[in-house]
Amino acid sequence: MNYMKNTKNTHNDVGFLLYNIPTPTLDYTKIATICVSHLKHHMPNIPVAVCGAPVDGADIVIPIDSVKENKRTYVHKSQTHKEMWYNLTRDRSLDITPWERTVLLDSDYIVQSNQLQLLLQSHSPVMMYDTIYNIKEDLVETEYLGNTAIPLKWATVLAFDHSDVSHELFALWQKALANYKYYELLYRWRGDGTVWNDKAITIAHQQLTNYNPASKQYIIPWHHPFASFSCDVEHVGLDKIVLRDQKSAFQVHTDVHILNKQELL
Amino acid sequence: MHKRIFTAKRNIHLLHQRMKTASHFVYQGGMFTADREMVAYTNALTESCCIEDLNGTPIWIEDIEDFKHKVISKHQEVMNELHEEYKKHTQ
Repeated sequence: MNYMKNTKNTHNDVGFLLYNIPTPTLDYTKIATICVSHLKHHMPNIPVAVCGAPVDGADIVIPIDSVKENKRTYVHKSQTHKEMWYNLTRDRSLDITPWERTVLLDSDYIVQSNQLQLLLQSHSPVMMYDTIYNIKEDLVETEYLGNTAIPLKWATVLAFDHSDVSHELFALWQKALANYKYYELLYRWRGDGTVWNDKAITIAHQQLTNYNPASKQYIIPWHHPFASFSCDVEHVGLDKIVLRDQKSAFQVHTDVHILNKQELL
Repeated sequence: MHKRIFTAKRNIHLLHQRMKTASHFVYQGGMFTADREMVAYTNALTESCCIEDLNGTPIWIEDIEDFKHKVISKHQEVMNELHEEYKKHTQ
């Protein structure tokens, strides 16, 4: 793999990895730049690798070609939006990452603490979220895989090393993506034309943990904080994000996954 | 509900969630949380032993006093911050 390094030396065995593949409708580079600046502010000693288009502040840029496209439809402010995006490369992260231990995260996951550092210190071969904290509603929620009692895992933040378990997880993840239609029928979720890494990684986790839906192995023990599409983003500072819903504006000082990406631009 | 009260309540909920998250720590590669139960549990331990972390992984704790110190100091750090931040939202 050919890496383009910037002038900083990186001697770390651990680091962050994110993807930045701009789409015709969304300037992901701007979002990734915000993400990297927050990572650097809160965890300055941990290097960041970006796969795709270059991002200011990143320590390593990993070029990528031949990216499979994905599409999705969502409703925001009573309007239906259709967009294309390129997220079907994340299952290659184990081969791409320059780090011994990596935290892979979405570029719209904005950190405001050094909490993710714990995932780099942990010895668990892989770690992922299985619960979400809906900031707007103050609710801890579990979603389920299709019509089953299997808690959905989230591919938003994934810690992994190069152990056998990690290799197995990524192999299973790739198989789940390759046989997505089969699993859609097996677990009976309603197909919307979008391929979700969350579902694929849930299937991989299931297989890795002997199909025990209650297994907490490889699970991040705190909740995945997210701001839904109904939250507008008023301000993004390095130590606080101001969100607004129909009731009021409110400050968030935790890490937060912002679904309303357009508002970050 | 008055808007000011609503905002204060929302901020306090967010604060509690942030503090719960912040109470996690890693020791010998295992993930733990410095909550009340862990403080009470570690106080009952007197010598080297195995403790299951939050993912069910058994972690051997050689220096139990060091582990206790870590749990208690993390717990106090989080509680002190909660206390300070809580005052800001309620005064």
